[in-house]
Amino acid sequence: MSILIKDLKYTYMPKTPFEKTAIHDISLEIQKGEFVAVIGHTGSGKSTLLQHLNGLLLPTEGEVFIDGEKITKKNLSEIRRKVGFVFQYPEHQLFEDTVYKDIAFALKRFKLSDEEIDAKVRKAANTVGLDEALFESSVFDLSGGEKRRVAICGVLVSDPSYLLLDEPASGLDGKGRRDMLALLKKLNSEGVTIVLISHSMDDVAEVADRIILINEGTVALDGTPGEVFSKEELLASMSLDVPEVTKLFNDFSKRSGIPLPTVTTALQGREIIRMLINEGRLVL
Amino acid sequence: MTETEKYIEFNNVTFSYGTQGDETESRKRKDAVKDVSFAIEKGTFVCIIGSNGSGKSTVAKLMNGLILPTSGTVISAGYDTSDDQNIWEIRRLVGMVFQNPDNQIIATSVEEDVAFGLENIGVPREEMIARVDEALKMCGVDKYRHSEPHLLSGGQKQRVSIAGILAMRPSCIVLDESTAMLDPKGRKQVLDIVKKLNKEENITVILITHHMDEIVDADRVLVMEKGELVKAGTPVEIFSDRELISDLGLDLPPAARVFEPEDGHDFGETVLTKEQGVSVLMKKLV
Repeated sequence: MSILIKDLKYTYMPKTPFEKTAIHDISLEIQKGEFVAVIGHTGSGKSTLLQHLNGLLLPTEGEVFIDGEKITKKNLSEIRRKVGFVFQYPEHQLFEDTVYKDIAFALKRFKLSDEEIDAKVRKAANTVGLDEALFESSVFDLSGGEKRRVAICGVLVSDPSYLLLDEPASGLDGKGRRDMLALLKKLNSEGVTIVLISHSMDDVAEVADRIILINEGTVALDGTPGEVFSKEELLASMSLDVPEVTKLFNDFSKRSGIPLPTVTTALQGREIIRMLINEGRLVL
Repeated sequence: MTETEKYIEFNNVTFSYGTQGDETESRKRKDAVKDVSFAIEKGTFVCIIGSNGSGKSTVAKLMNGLILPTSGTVISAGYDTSDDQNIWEIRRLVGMVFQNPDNQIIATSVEEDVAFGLENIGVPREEMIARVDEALKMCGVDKYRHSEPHLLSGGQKQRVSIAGILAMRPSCIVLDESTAMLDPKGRKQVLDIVKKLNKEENITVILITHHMDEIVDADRVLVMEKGELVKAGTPVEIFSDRELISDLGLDLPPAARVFEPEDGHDFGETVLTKEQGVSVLMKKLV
Protein backbone atom coordinates (compact mmCIF):
# COMPACT_ATOMS: atom_id res chain seq x y z
CA MET A 1 0.00 0.00 0.00
CA SER A 2 1.80 3.11 -1.20
CA ILE A 3 2.13 5.96 -3.62
CA LEU A 4 4.78 4.85 -6.10
CA ILE A 5 6.33 7.29 -8.57
CA LYS A 6 8.50 5.95 -11.40
CA ASP A 7 10.69 8.11 -13.66
CA LEU A 8 8.20 10.98 -13.60
CA LYS A 9 8.51 13.88 -16.02
CA TYR A 10 6.01 16.62 -16.75
CA THR A 11 6.26 19.27 -19.45
CA TYR A 12 3.86 22.21 -19.58
CA MET A 13 2.64 23.22 -23.05
CA PRO A 14 4.76 20.70 -24.97
CA LYS A 15 5.64 21.47 -28.60
CA THR A 16 4.92 25.18 -28.22
CA PRO A 17 7.32 28.10 -27.75
CA PHE A 18 6.21 28.10 -24.07
CA GLU A 19 7.32 24.50 -23.49
CA LYS A 20 8.69 24.08 -19.99
CA THR A 21 9.70 20.94 -18.15
CA ALA A 22 8.54 21.45 -14.58
CA ILE A 23 9.63 18.13 -13.06
CA HIS A 24 11.87 15.31 -14.29
CA ASP A 25 13.59 12.09 -13.17
CA ILE A 26 11.50 11.68 -10.04
CA SER A 27 11.23 8.19 -8.59
CA LEU A 28 10.11 7.63 -5.03
CA GLU A 29 7.68 5.76 -2.85
CA ILE A 30 5.50 7.04 -0.03
CA GLN A 31 4.30 4.24 2.26
CA LYS A 32 0.82 4.21 3.72
CA GLY A 33 0.81 5.94 7.11
CA GLU A 34 3.74 8.30 6.45
CA PHE A 35 3.67 12.04 7.19
CA VAL A 36 5.62 13.66 4.36
CA ALA A 37 6.43 17.31 3.72
CA VAL A 38 7.46 18.47 0.27
CA ILE A 39 9.61 21.61 0.35
CA GLY A 40 11.30 23.72 -2.29
CA HIS A 41 11.37 27.38 -3.27
CA THR A 42 8.62 28.94 -5.39
CA GLY A 43 8.80 27.51 -8.91
CA SER A 44 10.79 24.41 -7.93
CA GLY A 45 8.08 22.05 -9.18
CA LYS A 46 6.68 20.85 -5.84
CA SER A 47 3.05 21.74 -6.68
CA THR A 48 3.38 20.05 -10.07
CA LEU A 49 4.60 16.92 -8.31
CA LEU A 50 1.72 16.97 -5.80
CA GLN A 51 -0.84 17.33 -8.59
CA HIS A 52 0.37 14.05 -10.11
CA LEU A 53 -0.47 12.09 -6.97
CA ASN A 54 -4.21 12.15 -7.58
CA GLY A 55 -4.24 12.56 -11.34
CA LEU A 56 -4.89 16.30 -11.54
CA LEU A 57 -1.96 16.15 -13.94
CA LEU A 58 -1.00 13.02 -15.88
CA PRO A 59 2.71 12.36 -16.52
CA THR A 60 4.34 13.39 -19.79
CA GLU A 61 6.66 10.45 -19.13
CA GLY A 62 6.75 7.87 -16.34
CA GLU A 63 4.06 6.43 -14.10
CA VAL A 64 2.33 6.96 -10.77
CA PHE A 65 0.74 4.04 -8.89
CA ILE A 66 -1.71 4.25 -6.00
CA ASP A 67 -1.80 0.99 -4.01
CA GLY A 68 -0.39 -0.77 -7.07
CA GLU A 69 -2.87 0.71 -9.51
CA LYS A 70 -1.50 2.96 -12.23
CA ILE A 71 -3.23 6.36 -12.55
CA THR A 72 -4.72 6.73 -16.02
CA LYS A 73 -7.49 8.81 -17.56
CA LYS A 74 -9.87 5.88 -17.01
CA ASN A 75 -9.64 5.42 -13.24
CA LEU A 76 -9.48 9.05 -12.11
CA SER A 77 -12.70 9.12 -10.11
CA GLU A 78 -11.71 6.01 -8.19
CA ILE A 79 -8.20 7.40 -7.56
CA ARG A 80 -9.56 10.74 -6.35
CA ARG A 81 -11.81 9.01 -3.84
CA LYS A 82 -8.74 7.39 -2.40
CA VAL A 83 -6.44 10.41 -2.68
CA GLY A 84 -7.99 13.69 -1.48
CA PHE A 85 -6.53 17.05 -2.44
CA VAL A 86 -6.81 20.23 -0.38
CA PHE A 87 -5.73 23.23 -2.43
CA GLN A 88 -4.05 26.35 -1.09
CA TYR A 89 -6.69 28.73 0.34
CA PRO A 90 -9.37 26.03 -0.07
CA GLU A 91 -11.90 28.37 1.54
CA HIS A 92 -11.96 30.33 -1.73
CA GLN A 93 -13.72 27.35 -3.28
CA LEU A 94 -16.63 27.19 -0.87
CA PHE A 95 -19.76 28.02 -2.80
CA GLU A 96 -22.87 26.35 -1.36
CA ASP A 97 -25.24 28.46 0.69
CA THR A 98 -24.81 26.46 3.90
CA VAL A 99 -21.88 24.78 5.60
CA TYR A 100 -23.68 21.42 5.56
CA LYS A 101 -24.35 21.50 1.81
CA ASP A 102 -20.78 22.45 1.08
CA ILE A 103 -19.38 19.56 3.09
CA ALA A 104 -21.83 17.10 1.52
CA PHE A 105 -21.21 18.26 -2.05
CA ALA A 106 -18.64 15.60 -3.01
CA LEU A 107 -21.00 12.83 -1.83
CA LYS A 108 -23.70 13.75 -4.34
CA ARG A 109 -21.89 11.79 -7.02
CA PHE A 110 -22.11 8.59 -5.06
CA LYS A 111 -25.35 6.66 -4.81
CA LEU A 112 -25.86 7.17 -1.11
CA SER A 113 -29.02 7.55 0.96
CA ASP A 114 -29.61 10.80 2.86
CA GLU A 115 -28.88 8.94 6.10
CA GLU A 116 -25.54 7.68 4.82
CA ILE A 117 -24.60 11.17 3.63
CA ASP A 118 -25.62 12.63 6.98
CA ALA A 119 -23.52 10.11 8.89
CA LYS A 120 -20.46 10.86 6.77
CA VAL A 121 -20.86 14.63 7.09
CA ARG A 122 -21.19 14.41 10.89
CA LYS A 123 -18.23 12.08 11.18
CA ALA A 124 -15.99 14.39 9.12
CA ALA A 125 -17.16 17.47 11.06
CA ASN A 126 -16.40 15.68 14.30
CA THR A 127 -12.92 14.76 13.05
CA VAL A 128 -11.97 18.34 12.19
CA GLY A 129 -13.65 19.74 15.31
CA LEU A 130 -16.32 21.71 13.49
CA ASP A 131 -19.31 22.57 15.65
CA GLU A 132 -22.53 21.04 14.23
CA ALA A 133 -24.34 24.22 15.28
CA LEU A 134 -22.64 25.85 12.29
CA PHE A 135 -24.16 23.42 9.74
CA GLU A 136 -26.95 25.77 8.68
CA SER A 137 -24.77 28.91 8.73
CA SER A 138 -23.62 30.63 5.61
CA VAL A 139 -19.96 29.86 4.92
CA PHE A 140 -19.39 33.61 4.68
CA ASP A 141 -20.18 34.09 8.36
CA LEU A 142 -17.33 31.84 9.50
CA SER A 143 -13.82 32.82 10.59
CA GLY A 144 -10.82 32.05 8.38
CA GLY A 145 -9.86 28.97 10.41
CA GLU A 146 -13.44 27.65 10.41
CA LYS A 147 -13.78 28.11 6.65
CA ARG A 148 -10.63 26.11 6.09
CA ARG A 149 -12.00 23.34 8.31
CA VAL A 150 -15.18 23.25 6.25
CA ALA A 151 -13.12 22.95 3.06
CA ILE A 152 -11.04 20.09 4.51
CA CYS A 153 -14.24 18.44 5.76
CA GLY A 154 -15.52 18.48 2.18
CA VAL A 155 -12.52 16.36 1.20
CA LEU A 156 -12.62 14.08 4.25
CA VAL A 157 -16.24 12.99 3.67
CA SER A 158 -14.98 10.66 0.95
CA ASP A 159 -12.77 8.86 3.53
CA PRO A 160 -9.52 9.25 1.58
CA SER A 161 -6.57 7.02 2.58
CA TYR A 162 -4.14 9.64 1.28
CA LEU A 163 -4.52 13.36 1.88
CA LEU A 164 -2.55 15.89 -0.17
CA LEU A 165 -2.45 19.50 1.05
CA ASP A 166 -0.91 22.60 -0.51
CA GLU A 167 0.11 25.03 2.26
CA PRO A 168 -2.66 24.07 4.71
CA ALA A 169 -1.62 26.56 7.40
CA SER A 170 -0.86 29.64 5.31
CA GLY A 171 -2.70 32.81 6.24
CA LEU A 172 -4.05 31.38 9.51
CA ASP A 173 -3.40 33.06 12.85
CA GLY A 174 -1.31 31.39 15.57
CA LYS A 175 -4.11 29.34 17.05
CA GLY A 176 -5.55 28.45 13.64
CA ARG A 177 -2.15 27.26 12.51
CA ARG A 178 -1.51 25.14 15.60
CA ASP A 179 -5.00 23.62 15.42
CA MET A 180 -4.46 22.78 11.75
CA LEU A 181 -1.14 21.03 12.41
CA ALA A 182 -2.69 19.14 15.34
CA LEU A 183 -5.58 18.05 13.11
CA LEU A 184 -3.19 16.69 10.48
CA LYS A 185 -1.22 14.86 13.16
CA LYS A 186 -4.44 13.33 14.45
CA LEU A 187 -5.58 12.23 10.98
CA ASN A 188 -2.16 10.69 10.44
CA SER A 189 -2.33 8.78 13.73
CA GLU A 190 -5.69 7.40 12.58
CA GLY A 191 -3.97 5.97 9.52
CA VAL A 192 -4.37 8.70 6.88
CA THR A 193 -1.19 9.25 4.87
CA ILE A 194 -0.37 12.96 4.73
CA VAL A 195 1.64 14.65 2.00
CA LEU A 196 1.82 18.41 2.36
CA ILE A 197 3.60 21.33 0.78
CA SER A 198 4.84 24.04 3.11
CA HIS A 199 7.12 27.04 3.04
CA SER A 200 7.36 27.11 6.81
CA MET A 201 10.41 25.12 7.85
CA ASP A 202 9.38 25.50 11.50
CA ASP A 203 6.01 23.84 10.80
CA VAL A 204 7.60 21.12 8.68
CA ALA A 205 10.14 20.28 11.37
CA GLU A 206 7.36 20.01 13.92
CA VAL A 207 5.00 17.65 12.09
CA ALA A 208 6.69 15.69 9.32
CA ASP A 209 8.52 12.35 9.65
CA ARG A 210 10.04 12.70 6.22
CA ILE A 211 10.99 15.66 4.04
CA ILE A 212 11.31 15.57 0.26
CA LEU A 213 13.20 18.58 -1.06
CA ILE A 214 12.52 19.49 -4.68
CA ASN A 215 14.96 21.73 -6.50
CA GLU A 216 14.89 22.60 -10.21
CA GLY A 217 12.24 19.99 -10.87
CA THR A 218 13.81 16.98 -9.22
CA VAL A 219 14.45 15.43 -5.80
CA ALA A 220 17.50 17.04 -4.18
CA LEU A 221 17.15 15.54 -0.69
CA ASP A 222 14.88 12.94 0.89
CA GLY A 223 15.18 12.13 4.59
CA THR A 224 14.13 12.88 8.16
CA PRO A 225 13.92 16.55 9.27
CA GLY A 226 17.19 16.03 11.17
CA GLU A 227 18.95 14.75 8.05
CA VAL A 228 17.60 17.38 5.68
CA PHE A 229 18.09 20.36 8.00
CA SER A 230 21.65 19.31 8.87
CA LYS A 231 22.58 20.62 5.40
CA GLU A 232 22.15 24.32 6.10
CA GLU A 233 24.56 25.49 3.39
CA LEU A 234 23.12 23.27 0.67
CA LEU A 235 19.62 24.50 1.52
CA ALA A 236 20.80 28.12 1.45
CA SER A 237 22.20 27.55 -2.06
CA MET A 238 18.64 26.60 -3.07
CA SER A 239 17.23 29.78 -1.41
CA LEU A 240 15.80 27.74 1.44
CA ASP A 241 16.11 28.29 5.15
CA VAL A 242 16.47 25.82 7.97
CA PRO A 243 14.21 26.24 11.04
CA GLU A 244 15.10 29.20 13.27
CA VAL A 245 15.88 26.80 16.14
CA THR A 246 18.32 24.86 13.95
CA LYS A 247 20.23 28.07 13.19
CA LEU A 248 20.25 29.02 16.86
CA PHE A 249 21.86 25.76 17.96
CA ASN A 250 24.23 25.64 14.96
CA ASP A 251 25.51 29.11 15.87
CA PHE A 252 25.77 28.17 19.53
CA SER A 253 27.63 24.97 18.66
CA LYS A 254 30.10 26.93 16.52
CA ARG A 255 30.73 29.63 19.13
CA SER A 256 30.97 27.29 22.12
CA GLY A 257 32.85 24.51 20.37
CA ILE A 258 30.38 21.98 21.78
CA PRO A 259 29.40 19.48 19.07
CA LEU A 260 25.60 19.10 18.90
CA PRO A 261 23.23 17.02 16.78
CA THR A 262 20.93 18.92 14.38
CA VAL A 263 18.13 20.46 16.43
CA THR A 264 14.94 21.07 14.45
CA THR A 265 12.21 21.83 17.00
CA ALA A 266 11.89 23.88 20.18
CA LEU A 267 11.18 20.68 22.07
CA GLN A 268 14.48 19.15 20.96
CA GLY A 269 16.19 22.43 21.85
CA ARG A 270 14.85 22.23 25.39
CA GLU A 271 16.12 18.65 25.67
CA ILE A 272 19.58 19.73 24.53
CA ILE A 273 19.60 22.49 27.15
CA ARG A 274 18.51 20.02 29.83
CA MET A 275 21.31 17.68 28.75
CA LEU A 276 23.92 20.47 28.87
CA ILE A 277 22.72 21.46 32.35
CA ASN A 278 22.92 17.86 33.56
CA GLU A 279 26.42 17.58 32.16
CA GLY A 280 27.38 20.73 34.04
CA ARG A 281 28.25 22.67 30.87
CA LEU A 282 25.51 25.21 31.40
CA VAL A 283 24.73 26.76 34.77
CA LEU A 284 21.58 28.81 35.20
CA MET B 1 8.42 69.49 15.24
CA THR B 2 9.52 67.29 18.11
CA GLU B 3 10.81 63.79 17.79
CA THR B 4 7.87 62.31 19.62
CA GLU B 5 5.23 63.98 17.48
CA LYS B 6 1.99 62.03 17.36
CA TYR B 7 1.39 60.92 13.82
CA ILE B 8 -1.74 58.84 14.08
CA GLU B 9 -4.18 59.24 16.93
CA PHE B 10 -7.25 57.16 17.72
CA ASN B 11 -9.54 58.79 20.28
CA ASN B 12 -12.27 56.47 21.63
CA VAL B 13 -12.86 55.01 18.19
CA THR B 14 -15.72 52.61 17.58
CA PHE B 15 -16.56 51.18 14.18
CA SER B 16 -19.72 49.17 13.62
CA TYR B 17 -20.62 47.26 10.51
CA GLY B 18 -24.26 47.42 9.51
CA THR B 19 -24.79 51.08 10.27
CA GLN B 20 -23.50 52.65 7.07
CA GLY B 21 -25.28 52.41 3.72
CA ASP B 22 -28.11 50.20 2.51
CA GLU B 23 -26.20 47.18 1.25
CA THR B 24 -25.29 46.15 4.77
CA GLU B 25 -28.85 46.48 6.03
CA SER B 26 -29.47 42.75 6.12
CA ARG B 27 -26.39 42.09 8.26
CA LYS B 28 -26.47 42.32 11.98
CA ARG B 29 -24.84 45.35 13.55
CA LYS B 30 -21.44 44.36 14.77
CA ASP B 31 -18.77 46.37 16.54
CA ALA B 32 -15.55 45.54 14.73
CA VAL B 33 -13.63 48.08 16.80
CA LYS B 34 -14.75 49.14 20.28
CA ASP B 35 -13.64 52.31 22.05
CA VAL B 36 -10.03 52.11 20.93
CA SER B 37 -7.54 54.87 21.82
CA PHE B 38 -3.83 55.00 21.02
CA ALA B 39 -1.24 57.25 19.43
CA ILE B 40 1.55 56.31 17.05
CA GLU B 41 4.65 58.50 17.00
CA LYS B 42 6.18 59.79 13.81
CA GLY B 43 9.01 57.69 12.38
CA THR B 44 8.32 54.62 14.53
CA PHE B 45 7.86 51.01 13.45
CA VAL B 46 4.67 49.71 15.00
CA CYS B 47 3.15 46.23 14.65
CA ILE B 48 -0.47 45.32 15.24
CA ILE B 49 -1.18 41.69 16.13
CA GLY B 50 -4.25 39.71 17.16
CA SER B 51 -6.20 36.66 16.04
CA ASN B 52 -8.43 36.58 12.95
CA GLY B 53 -11.44 38.80 13.47
CA SER B 54 -9.81 40.84 16.24
CA GLY B 55 -10.30 44.13 14.37
CA LYS B 56 -6.73 44.68 13.13
CA SER B 57 -7.69 45.26 9.51
CA THR B 58 -10.53 47.55 10.51
CA VAL B 59 -8.02 49.67 12.44
CA ALA B 60 -5.83 49.79 9.31
CA LYS B 61 -8.70 50.96 7.11
CA LEU B 62 -9.62 53.64 9.64
CA MET B 63 -6.09 55.04 9.47
CA ASN B 64 -6.38 56.52 6.02
CA GLY B 65 -10.10 57.12 5.90
CA LEU B 66 -11.08 54.10 3.80
CA ILE B 67 -13.73 53.74 6.49
CA LEU B 68 -14.81 56.36 9.00
CA PRO B 69 -15.38 55.88 12.73
CA THR B 70 -18.96 55.33 13.89
CA SER B 71 -17.97 57.31 16.94
CA GLY B 72 -14.73 58.87 18.16
CA THR B 73 -12.07 60.52 16.00
CA VAL B 74 -9.09 59.37 13.96
CA ILE B 75 -6.38 61.99 13.40
CA SER B 76 -3.94 60.97 10.65
CA ALA B 77 -0.95 63.10 9.66
CA GLY B 78 -2.54 65.94 11.58
CA TYR B 79 -5.91 65.75 9.80
CA ASP B 80 -9.26 64.46 11.03
CA THR B 81 -10.19 61.59 8.66
CA SER B 82 -13.89 62.39 8.87
CA ASP B 83 -13.35 65.83 7.31
CA ASP B 84 -14.00 65.41 3.54
CA GLN B 85 -11.60 68.16 2.62
CA ASN B 86 -8.58 66.32 4.00
CA ILE B 87 -9.22 62.85 2.64
CA TRP B 88 -7.01 63.02 -0.48
CA GLU B 89 -4.09 64.48 1.41
CA ILE B 90 -4.44 61.78 4.09
CA ARG B 91 -4.48 59.04 1.47
CA ARG B 92 -1.39 60.48 -0.18
CA LEU B 93 0.48 60.68 3.13
CA VAL B 94 -0.72 57.36 4.55
CA GLY B 95 -0.25 54.66 1.93
CA MET B 96 -1.79 51.23 2.28
CA VAL B 97 -0.54 47.84 1.05
CA PHE B 98 -3.11 45.04 1.16
CA GLN B 99 -2.85 41.29 1.59
CA ASN B 100 -3.37 39.97 -1.91
CA PRO B 101 -0.77 41.29 -4.37
CA ASP B 102 -3.10 40.53 -7.27
CA ASN B 103 -5.81 42.87 -6.02
CA GLN B 104 -3.88 46.12 -6.14
CA ILE B 105 -1.96 46.15 -9.40
CA ILE B 106 -3.89 47.59 -12.31
CA ALA B 107 -1.55 48.73 -15.09
CA THR B 108 -0.02 46.60 -17.85
CA SER B 109 3.59 47.46 -17.00
CA VAL B 110 5.37 47.87 -13.67
CA GLU B 111 6.44 51.41 -14.54
CA GLU B 112 2.91 52.50 -15.41
CA ASP B 113 1.55 50.93 -12.27
CA VAL B 114 3.93 52.90 -10.11
CA ALA B 115 3.04 56.09 -12.04
CA PHE B 116 -0.71 55.55 -11.66
CA GLY B 117 -1.17 57.56 -8.47
CA LEU B 118 0.94 60.42 -9.79
CA GLU B 119 -1.13 60.64 -12.99
CA ASN B 120 -4.23 60.98 -10.87
CA ILE B 121 -2.91 63.95 -8.97
CA GLY B 122 -1.57 65.61 -12.10
CA VAL B 123 2.16 65.58 -11.43
CA PRO B 124 4.10 67.06 -14.41
CA ARG B 125 5.67 64.47 -16.70
CA GLU B 126 9.33 65.26 -15.96
CA GLU B 127 8.82 65.05 -12.24
CA MET B 128 6.72 61.91 -12.63
CA ILE B 129 9.55 60.14 -14.45
CA ALA B 130 12.05 61.13 -11.77
CA ARG B 131 9.79 60.04 -8.91
CA VAL B 132 8.90 56.70 -10.52
CA ASP B 133 12.57 56.07 -11.15
CA GLU B 134 13.50 56.78 -7.58
CA ALA B 135 10.67 54.65 -6.14
CA LEU B 136 11.51 51.66 -8.36
CA LYS B 137 15.16 51.81 -7.31
CA MET B 138 14.38 52.11 -3.61
CA CYS B 139 12.22 48.99 -3.76
CA GLY B 140 14.73 47.04 -5.86
CA VAL B 141 12.25 46.45 -8.69
CA ASP B 142 14.01 48.74 -11.17
CA LYS B 143 15.02 45.88 -13.46
CA TYR B 144 11.38 44.81 -13.89
CA ARG B 145 10.18 48.29 -14.91
CA HIS B 146 9.04 47.17 -18.37
CA SER B 147 7.74 43.77 -17.23
CA GLU B 148 4.08 42.87 -17.14
CA PRO B 149 3.07 42.79 -13.45
CA HIS B 150 1.29 39.41 -13.70
CA LEU B 151 4.62 37.77 -14.57
CA LEU B 152 6.18 38.81 -11.26
CA SER B 153 6.32 36.75 -8.08
CA GLY B 154 4.15 37.70 -5.10
CA GLY B 155 7.04 39.37 -3.29
CA GLN B 156 7.97 41.38 -6.38
CA LYS B 157 4.33 42.47 -6.81
CA GLN B 158 4.16 43.68 -3.22
CA ARG B 159 7.35 45.66 -3.72
CA VAL B 160 5.84 47.23 -6.84
CA SER B 161 2.82 48.19 -4.72
CA ILE B 162 5.13 49.78 -2.16
CA ALA B 163 6.94 51.65 -4.96
CA GLY B 164 3.58 53.01 -6.15
CA ILE B 165 2.99 54.36 -2.66
CA LEU B 166 6.53 55.76 -2.33
CA ALA B 167 6.18 57.72 -5.56
CA MET B 168 3.43 59.69 -3.82
CA ARG B 169 5.97 60.81 -1.18
CA PRO B 170 4.07 59.46 1.81
CA SER B 171 5.16 59.81 5.40
CA CYS B 172 3.51 56.60 6.56
CA ILE B 173 2.93 53.12 5.11
CA VAL B 174 0.34 50.70 6.51
CA LEU B 175 0.83 47.04 5.56
CA ASP B 176 -2.30 44.99 6.18
CA GLU B 177 -1.06 41.38 6.28
CA SER B 178 0.91 42.18 3.15
CA THR B 179 3.32 39.33 3.75
CA ALA B 180 0.70 36.65 4.50
CA MET B 181 0.54 35.24 0.97
CA LEU B 182 4.28 35.39 0.24
CA ASP B 183 6.95 32.71 0.41
CA PRO B 184 9.79 33.21 2.94
CA LYS B 185 12.04 34.88 0.39
CA GLY B 186 9.35 37.34 -0.74
CA ARG B 187 8.43 38.00 2.87
CA LYS B 188 12.01 38.88 3.72
CA GLN B 189 12.36 41.18 0.70
CA VAL B 190 9.24 43.14 1.65
CA LEU B 191 10.29 43.40 5.31
CA ASP B 192 13.79 44.53 4.37
CA ILE B 193 12.34 47.31 2.21
CA VAL B 194 9.95 48.63 4.87
CA LYS B 195 12.61 48.46 7.58
CA LYS B 196 14.96 50.44 5.34
CA LEU B 197 12.29 53.05 4.57
CA ASN B 198 11.62 53.34 8.28
CA LYS B 199 15.27 53.81 9.24
CA GLU B 200 16.60 55.81 6.30
CA GLU B 201 13.58 57.84 5.16
CA ASN B 202 11.97 58.19 8.59
CA ILE B 203 8.72 56.82 7.20
CA THR B 204 6.31 55.64 9.88
CA VAL B 205 5.57 51.94 9.32
CA ILE B 206 2.52 50.13 10.64
CA LEU B 207 2.73 46.40 10.04
CA ILE B 208 -0.23 44.12 10.66
CA THR B 209 0.83 40.50 10.79
CA HIS B 210 0.39 36.96 12.11
CA HIS B 211 4.09 36.20 11.81
CA MET B 212 5.59 36.67 15.24
CA ASP B 213 9.14 36.69 13.89
CA GLU B 214 8.29 39.91 11.99
CA ILE B 215 7.49 41.89 15.11
CA VAL B 216 10.64 41.27 17.16
CA ASP B 217 12.30 44.43 15.79
CA ALA B 218 9.28 46.71 16.24
CA ASP B 219 9.48 49.82 18.41
CA ARG B 220 6.02 49.10 19.70
CA VAL B 221 3.38 46.38 19.41
CA LEU B 222 -0.38 46.88 19.70
CA VAL B 223 -2.41 43.78 20.56
CA MET B 224 -6.06 43.62 19.46
CA GLU B 225 -8.67 41.16 20.65
CA LYS B 226 -12.41 41.16 19.91
CA GLY B 227 -12.27 44.74 18.66
CA GLU B 228 -10.46 46.08 21.68
CA LEU B 229 -6.90 47.17 22.25
CA VAL B 230 -5.81 44.83 25.04
CA LYS B 231 -2.12 45.67 25.32
CA ALA B 232 0.55 47.97 23.94
CA GLY B 233 4.27 47.74 24.58
CA THR B 234 7.68 46.72 23.30
CA PRO B 235 8.06 43.21 21.81
CA VAL B 236 9.80 42.07 25.01
CA GLU B 237 6.96 43.42 27.16
CA ILE B 238 4.37 41.68 24.99
CA PHE B 239 6.11 38.31 24.85
CA SER B 240 6.95 38.35 28.56
CA ASP B 241 3.22 38.42 29.27
CA ARG B 242 2.71 34.64 29.04
CA GLU B 243 -0.86 34.85 30.23
CA LEU B 244 -1.80 37.25 27.43
CA ILE B 245 -0.01 35.16 24.80
CA SER B 246 -1.76 31.98 25.84
CA ASP B 247 -5.19 33.63 26.38
CA LEU B 248 -5.14 35.08 22.88
CA GLY B 249 -3.72 31.93 21.29
CA LEU B 250 -0.76 33.85 19.87
CA ASP B 251 2.44 32.11 18.80
CA LEU B 252 5.77 32.78 20.40
CA PRO B 253 8.64 33.31 17.94
CA PRO B 254 10.47 29.97 17.37
CA ALA B 255 13.55 30.97 19.40
CA ALA B 256 11.36 32.07 22.32
CA ARG B 257 9.75 28.65 22.55
CA VAL B 258 13.12 27.12 23.40
CA PHE B 259 13.60 29.45 26.37
CA GLU B 260 10.12 29.36 27.89
CA PRO B 261 10.63 29.21 31.66
CA GLU B 262 9.00 25.82 32.13
CA ASP B 263 10.42 22.75 33.84
CA GLY B 264 12.76 24.80 35.99
CA HIS B 265 14.94 26.22 33.22
CA ASP B 266 14.54 29.93 33.79
CA PHE B 267 17.18 31.90 31.96
CA GLY B 268 15.87 35.09 33.54
CA GLU B 269 15.69 36.92 30.19
CA THR B 270 13.09 37.14 27.46
CA VAL B 271 14.56 35.68 24.29
CA LEU B 272 12.88 36.64 21.01
CA THR B 273 15.52 36.11 18.31
CA LYS B 274 18.10 33.44 17.61
CA GLU B 275 20.88 35.99 18.23
CA GLN B 276 19.52 36.66 21.72
CA GLY B 277 19.21 32.90 22.24
CA VAL B 278 22.84 32.28 21.35
CA SER B 279 24.06 35.11 23.57
CA VAL B 280 21.98 33.89 26.56
CA LEU B 281 23.41 30.38 26.15
CA MET B 282 26.97 31.71 25.85
CA LYS B 283 26.55 33.70 29.07
CA LYS B 284 25.54 30.60 30.99
CA LEU B 285 28.34 28.48 29.59
CA VAL B 286 30.75 27.10 32.14
